[in-house]
Amino acid sequence: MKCDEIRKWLSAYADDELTTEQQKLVEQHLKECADCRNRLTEYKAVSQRLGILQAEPSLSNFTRSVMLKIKEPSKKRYAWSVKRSLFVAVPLVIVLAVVGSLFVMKPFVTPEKVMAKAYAATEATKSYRITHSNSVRISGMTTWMNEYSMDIEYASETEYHIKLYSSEGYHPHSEAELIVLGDKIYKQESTSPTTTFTALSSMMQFLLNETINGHLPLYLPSKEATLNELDSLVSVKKLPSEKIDGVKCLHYRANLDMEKYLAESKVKIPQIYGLDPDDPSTHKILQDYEDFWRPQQIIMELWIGEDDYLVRQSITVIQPAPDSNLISSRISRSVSHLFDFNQQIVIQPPLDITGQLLPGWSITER
Amino acid sequence: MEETAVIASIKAGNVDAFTEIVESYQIPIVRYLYRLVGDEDIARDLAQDTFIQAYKGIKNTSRDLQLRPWLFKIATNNTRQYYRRKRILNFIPFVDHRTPEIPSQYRTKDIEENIDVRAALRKVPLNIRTCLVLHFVEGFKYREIASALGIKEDAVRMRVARGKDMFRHAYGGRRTQ
Repeated sequence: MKCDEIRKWLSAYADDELTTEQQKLVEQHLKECADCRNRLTEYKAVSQRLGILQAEPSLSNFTRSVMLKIKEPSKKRYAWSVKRSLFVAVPLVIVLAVVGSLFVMKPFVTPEKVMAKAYAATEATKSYRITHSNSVRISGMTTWMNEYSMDIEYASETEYHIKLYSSEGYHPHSEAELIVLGDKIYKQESTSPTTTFTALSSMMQFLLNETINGHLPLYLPSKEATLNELDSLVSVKKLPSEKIDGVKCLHYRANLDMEKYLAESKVKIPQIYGLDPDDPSTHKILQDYEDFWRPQQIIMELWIGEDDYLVRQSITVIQPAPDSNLISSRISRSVSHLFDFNQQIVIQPPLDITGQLLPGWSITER
Repeated sequence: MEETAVIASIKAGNVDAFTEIVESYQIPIVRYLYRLVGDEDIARDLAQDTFIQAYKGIKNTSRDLQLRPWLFKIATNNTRQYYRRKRILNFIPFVDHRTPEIPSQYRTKDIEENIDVRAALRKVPLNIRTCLVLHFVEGFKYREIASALGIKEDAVRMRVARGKDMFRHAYGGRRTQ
């Protein structure tokens, strides 16, 4: 048989959808024809690739919401009878009265006021520690993959210690450390010899470049980052209070104002990277940056100490905005935990008693 | 309970019995819709409509109803309608090539592969994409696809073969970019 006759069957053959007779004919031809064998391999690759889409979507409460819809008799929502609205109105008045009396007992604090106080409290912080971890999930998959974590100690704005870890299982475990003491920047990396994917070292390089330019790295969790965020929150919603480190915290969810965030970044990026704002290549970089961020949505949750207004925990979720039509639905989630506010933190240089650099460390002066 | 018994029970007026059907089919139906439309929330909405329509329609089905292909048929129709609505509402063509660039240092092979596969799949026209997803993701035989979509088995065979070539082309194009 000729190739073009076999070709009609080849795809079905790869899918095991031929009759035994047809199968035999195809197999006979395959023995003699390398072209068709190659085509078959390609077909099998397609099935393997599409197979990765078998991951199960995450579903919560789906059955319940369907059953509610099914049981709910279809009603005209706005044509309420007087009787019915009374059923609503009377309890509503009672609820309002109870809620109102609570306000009398405790002065009503608007989220704006809390954020303003949190801003002031954060600004006044001198030293603190942060643990931070970042995970990603492809929308439709249920599992989060941890990308990296970091521990940071800030003794002051010019003295800090960052320890980065890439997670086990995701890519080979590796660690990197950066110690900044005034003009001296110490660096250490220990990547496993099998590492082919060097996310961590490129991140490290990124941090290092920014640090050398004399700025706190833009994406590093820090007091500055927290201030920026507190300043750009919109549609803030109050959630039930929760304890963090045994401290009762006000709990909010909000969106980050993307327009504001982009407008500020456009000013900051050229400054941080020393780019000429009038250069066409800078425009290109900023445009790419904007194209990446505009269809995204940043949702934040904040836990703010009820008495001292210090931000003790924050969760940031970056995901495609609902109206963005992005196919690459990568959701990233990072958790920052802040503690040891204004404790005495001493950052030691990585030197031995004779003043020599410890093995694995290098030093850069800015 | 056997599926046929569940269906009989629903027909007899036991609404709660439908819970079992939603429970057993929600994952494949939502996944199928998600692979077709590429958006989790839209997929959930379409799946919800699918089950509600199924509930309404199940009373009038014959005794030898094949539930699985029937549900997928409703889901497919909903997807078609969704795209029709979208076409009417959207004068701007649906741009699906604009994958945001994830900074390369944060990418891994798995994530990239998943993104590339999904993007390539979206380049395949809907009527062919349905066949690819039903076969390779949901594990339908050609015969079952034919019954779910109300087309001939030969048509399924042709669509799957064409779909593979289109997918291969789109995927190769992305990979060599």
